[in-house]
Amino acid sequence: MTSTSVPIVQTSLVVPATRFRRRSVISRMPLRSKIALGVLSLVVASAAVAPVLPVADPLVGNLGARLLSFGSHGHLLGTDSQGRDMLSRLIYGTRTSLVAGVVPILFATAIGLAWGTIAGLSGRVINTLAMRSVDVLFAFPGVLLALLLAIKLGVGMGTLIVALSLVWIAPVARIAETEVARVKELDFITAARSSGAGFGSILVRQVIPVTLPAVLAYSTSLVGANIAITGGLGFIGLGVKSPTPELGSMLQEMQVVIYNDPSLSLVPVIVVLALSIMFPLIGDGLRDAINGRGRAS
Amino acid sequence: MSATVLAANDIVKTFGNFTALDHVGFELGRGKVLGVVGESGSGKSTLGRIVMRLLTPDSGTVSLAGQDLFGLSRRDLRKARRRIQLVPQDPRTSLNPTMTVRQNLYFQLRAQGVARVDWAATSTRLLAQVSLTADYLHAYPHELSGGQAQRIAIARSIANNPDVLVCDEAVSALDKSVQAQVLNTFAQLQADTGIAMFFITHDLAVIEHIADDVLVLDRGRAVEQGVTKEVLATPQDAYTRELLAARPLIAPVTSR
Amino acid sequence: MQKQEQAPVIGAGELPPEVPLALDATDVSVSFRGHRGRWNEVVHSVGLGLERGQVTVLLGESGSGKTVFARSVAGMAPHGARVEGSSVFDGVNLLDLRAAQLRKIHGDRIGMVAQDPNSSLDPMRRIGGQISETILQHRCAPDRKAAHARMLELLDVVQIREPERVARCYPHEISGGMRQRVAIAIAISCNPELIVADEPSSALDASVGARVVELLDDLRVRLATAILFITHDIGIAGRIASKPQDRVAVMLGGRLVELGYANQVLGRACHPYTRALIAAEPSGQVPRGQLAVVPDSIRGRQDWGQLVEVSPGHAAALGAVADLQSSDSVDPEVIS
Repeated sequence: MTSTSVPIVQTSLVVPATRFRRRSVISRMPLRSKIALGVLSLVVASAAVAPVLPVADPLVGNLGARLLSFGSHGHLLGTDSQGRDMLSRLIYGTRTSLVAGVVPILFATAIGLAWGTIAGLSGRVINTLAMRSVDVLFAFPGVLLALLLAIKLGVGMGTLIVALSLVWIAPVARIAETEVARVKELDFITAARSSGAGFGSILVRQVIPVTLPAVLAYSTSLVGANIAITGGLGFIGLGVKSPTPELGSMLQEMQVVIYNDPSLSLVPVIVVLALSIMFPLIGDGLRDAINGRGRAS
Repeated sequence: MSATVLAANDIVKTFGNFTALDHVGFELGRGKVLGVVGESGSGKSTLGRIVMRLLTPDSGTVSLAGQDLFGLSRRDLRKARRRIQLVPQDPRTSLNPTMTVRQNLYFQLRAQGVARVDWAATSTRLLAQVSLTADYLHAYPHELSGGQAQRIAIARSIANNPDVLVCDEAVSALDKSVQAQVLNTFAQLQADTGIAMFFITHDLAVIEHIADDVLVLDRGRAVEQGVTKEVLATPQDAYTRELLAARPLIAPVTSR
Repeated sequence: MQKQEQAPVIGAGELPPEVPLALDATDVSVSFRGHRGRWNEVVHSVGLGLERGQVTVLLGESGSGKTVFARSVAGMAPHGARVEGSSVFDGVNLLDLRAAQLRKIHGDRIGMVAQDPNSSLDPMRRIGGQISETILQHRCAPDRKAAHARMLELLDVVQIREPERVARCYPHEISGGMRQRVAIAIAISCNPELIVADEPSSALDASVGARVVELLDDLRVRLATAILFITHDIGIAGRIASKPQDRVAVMLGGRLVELGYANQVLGRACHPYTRALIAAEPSGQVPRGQLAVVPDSIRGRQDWGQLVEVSPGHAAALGAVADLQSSDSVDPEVIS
């Protein structure tokens, strides 16, 4: 294809392929996210194996050993006003909070993703209907919703999960809709449409894999906020039923003894805070790691 | 070789009050390259989307190899779509970023109804056709340079020997040195396979180099069409003359 | 900087003859902190002198470091960049100045025109107000009334018809070409000694972009301003560098590989990369499929060495040329 009239002789276009190195998503996350992931793994592990840990029963108190301070014999983190072991209640409380924190987000993500994807792929009328109803859900205060449901269904874990799932559908749907609407205009989707591929095939193989990581990263961040809200609801008595340990209700119990030993009441606060910071850190890290893989901008 | 493979007749397309295409028609001969030139808002991309049936015109007809593209059943449409393929503009978005090159190609091969046993061999052959080695099958799009990504987009588009390629500003986002490579790839493909191209660009120099015929669009109207050499040598329309005057000059104005 | 012949400078009569250079950049290197905190040098000791009334085109492809270099020497280095060397503007090294001192110079004595005019205009404010504000901020007009008059004059200078009407528009109400003219009006509002124009026509349609380039070409003569014009497009370079004193600097991989007057670099290029770029330009003269490709052996090469004068005012870094295979080099007679 080269002739003498061409000023520069073409060198071969066959470029030696570089080694395409694969790194896992976790290794591409920034350091702070890796640390958060490590700490969270420890917390989750200890919560998961709580029944076999050598700690006292969280529900059994000893009225003779009320409000012991940190480092007391047999009670590393002291005891509460009913003489129950704080460390044990903390571990079991974290367990409750993690379930109440993660499960609603799972439901919300599944529903919100489907909702947002349908809205994002639909024409103007359906899109408007779907997204305006999301707005309505958005405008409805989450705590009020939980309150109403608690009155209707009674206080308990089930109510909590239903209420919180409803609260988080709207933001997930909105993110999913934005992502899908963005992605569906990209060149490779147009190319896929013109390739003769069917709608379902394009949706499952092209659209979802591109939108999913961003939505999942966002959902992970939401778990943090959700744990904080769970704590808040527990604090005002709308969380799980007493005496099941839960971080928010523990804080509420501690409040009455705050003048005796304020340090005791700090413990559940720190755990709620730590958990609600950890998840956004991981979510951000996930997002960065995915973006680093050259997500279509 | 003069049979018409793609023709549009009297296309009108409006978006609200805006007339994107105003009675535009053209004929693309088998194995020929039709350059479609115009500035933003000229309707050139709209025309490209209409001939791929990604948009429906308000009136007018498009025929692909003698078939009326807008009168096809869903089944026949899927078959017809295999004969006209797109090479998009932006190398960063022309491939799915979550899939490797291989997965990107396989998706196309599946959609084109190629038998699964042939996928691996076909992919390698396609890469060879755009002068890339099989190692690139394992790369993700972000690991490729713009020129490589664009050549893979070309490989994808020719997966099942289509009759027509629609190239929508396919070389505009590339550096000049890379652009030359990709233009050579297009030219070689055309020489090897006799594929026809509907080549949309704003760059008259590219048109001059690659297109047999040219269609000049200005605000939705076809202001000039004909054999490239003649149109560029003796532009009849003021707008074409303006485009030609705006063409970048390689030699500086001051001569030595 | 290599020596050069004293070129006739248009508008030189207004300048004190002892200050020939609007900007004198010497040995400028720019690095960014990369993986594991290592510094990654992207511009390797580049020097360039800019004269008033002269256009200097910085020609390079993506990744050549042209934008980073131009912004750095103008004191607008990207965030996180480490800039070494010196860039002397009116006796002061811009690289030594603090942000507050630079702010006084930017917009006043150094104007900037970006590729995307939207990035430099406030979408929420009317055109006229934005221009007048810049004028007042740099005290280029004594009061609001004078600033308003100056604003209208500027819109007229950048060839906007009906300046009164356009001044009342918001940025989204005018076309892209007009927005770029407004951005230029802001850049020249205080009669700067230097304008840095970063691909000002690339985001525009060809015919609109060509008129913007013409406008800049005309302004540097009328205002005796130095222009540092960044582009990847040889054709645009040929358009803006229209006067005998205009120069073209070719960047490759963060290095200057060729520097000289426009007709020397574009007409009698001696660096293989510059030649390859010119030859890669599509045209009807070259048979289809036979466009020259810039070989990776040229594009990927790093060891070009120092600029060496090849003829008066024309220098090229030809260090590695002897190593190139004969097939990669360019016959000097072919390109004219």
